[in-house]
Amino acid sequence: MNDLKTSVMGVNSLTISLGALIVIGTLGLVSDTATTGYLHAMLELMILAYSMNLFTGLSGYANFGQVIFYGLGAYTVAVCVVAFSAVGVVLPTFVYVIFAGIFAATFALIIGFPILRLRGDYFAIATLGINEAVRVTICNTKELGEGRGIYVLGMVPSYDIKMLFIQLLIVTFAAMIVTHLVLKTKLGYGLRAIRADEDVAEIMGVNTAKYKSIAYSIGAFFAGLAGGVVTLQFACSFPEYLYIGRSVDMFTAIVLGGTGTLLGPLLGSIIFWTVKDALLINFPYFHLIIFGIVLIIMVLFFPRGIMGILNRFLSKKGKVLE
Amino acid sequence: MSQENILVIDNVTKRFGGLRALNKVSVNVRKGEILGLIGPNGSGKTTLFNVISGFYHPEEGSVNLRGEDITDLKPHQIARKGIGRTFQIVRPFGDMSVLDNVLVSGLFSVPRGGKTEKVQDRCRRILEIADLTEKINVPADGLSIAEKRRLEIARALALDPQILLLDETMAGLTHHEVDHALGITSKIRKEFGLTIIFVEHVMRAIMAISERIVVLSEGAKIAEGSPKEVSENEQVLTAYLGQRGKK
Repeated sequence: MNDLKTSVMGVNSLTISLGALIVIGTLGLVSDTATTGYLHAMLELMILAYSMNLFTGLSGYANFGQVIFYGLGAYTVAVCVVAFSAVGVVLPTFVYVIFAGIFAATFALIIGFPILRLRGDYFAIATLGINEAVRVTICNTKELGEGRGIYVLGMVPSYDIKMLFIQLLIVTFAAMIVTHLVLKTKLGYGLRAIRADEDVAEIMGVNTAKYKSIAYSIGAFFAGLAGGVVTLQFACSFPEYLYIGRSVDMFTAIVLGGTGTLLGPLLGSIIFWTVKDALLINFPYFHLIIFGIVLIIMVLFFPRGIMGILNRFLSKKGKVLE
Repeated sequence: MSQENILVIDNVTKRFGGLRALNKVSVNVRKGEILGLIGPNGSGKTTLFNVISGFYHPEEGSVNLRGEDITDLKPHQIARKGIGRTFQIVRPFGDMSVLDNVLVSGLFSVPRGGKTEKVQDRCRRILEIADLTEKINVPADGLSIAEKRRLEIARALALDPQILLLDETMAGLTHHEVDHALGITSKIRKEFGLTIIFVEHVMRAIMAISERIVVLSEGAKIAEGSPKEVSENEQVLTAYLGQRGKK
């Protein structure tokens, strides 16, 4: 059988991803606070890109509300820290972060039930609507600090960027492993079938409702974890965290890198983040124009992103990267 | 041939607004037979397939598979109970490779905890039968129409079905390709011991492989019997050729 080898020179996609993560991790841990902060923000975007990739990337459901899970994760940590401090309980910070992931995933499971019945553009609009509804609700809820947000300054045990960076590294590692496993198993095949043709997927025995819901929740879990770490970083949680532009950032990153792949979100978020940061300093807001154009070009001519271009060359040599 | 009915379609009516796409249709399908389903355009053949595979739920009547009512089950449940189908207008998973296309239904047909490697081997076997081994890594979009139709059959077979619904798998094929497809269909039947229901307009194919034929016209069953009986049936001739077609 002339099967395509899922490795290049004996190196597969998972090894490349983990290698990149080790490089980023080492850089972040040995350099000064500014660089760590820079890489910290990049990892955050990477986790969000992976979270969006798990559902939107694999199933092809355009989604502009992924940031909602990030925001809810952030608020979960803020609320938990305030509530636990009030009764004098101090938990290790990572426990709060896990709460954030669980809450985001549960929320995804609940809203997924009605909105995952919608398809295509209708689903995208619904996610947009829910995102705004939640943001406005938070802005108008006294208990959640309205527009000011919730401050947890002094209540979190340690405010240490390196500690938080390690937490993000662990979350990114988990996101990579989970993506790798999903791609290899029934869930991944089911989602790709849904992306290609949902009705046919159903006829081929895929419980589409169930698999969409699972992927949506796993994605939300990781976005929630990233949001949780952000609250710890800034010691507060703002309604700004639910800003829709963030969803577009994630979307751009995965489309640029290659949707539904393991390396795509990694490449996409690294490129997106470095270019965006470089442009922000010299030409504020200019990156929006640049990435707008890049997004249009990618969608029109390279729908499989950088990974698609790469694999076009590799497949001629009987190899392929995920 | 055993007389045991594997699939019983009982008095099925399906309406679309004011149109009765199926009007009290009853068909018994015997285990292991090849049943041809014919009729002029718009007579309800594909609608019947959609009802059997759970795409549509009929307003009246029931569908029973081995004595179990499957009328209101979802398509994926019916698929896993052992009914595989192809589509009149081919619908392969375009950007996935040929092997991955087949792997989807292969993976979803096995109970929880099934080994991927085992499924892979089975899918390769099926692709071999469908004569697609050389195209295993090609994206399904890159296949010819004949190959796409074979891929659809392979994909349905990977479900490990008991009943295979083939919806015009020979439409648009050349003479030579029809022969090839017929060869594959009989090979499949021998190898898997399947019950096959197929919709076809290519008369040569129908006469060659069907053991029994059901004729639909305007949503109702108008005839049933051996190919010879059906081809001599007055009502069938009228349905196809109009009043003036009569001798």
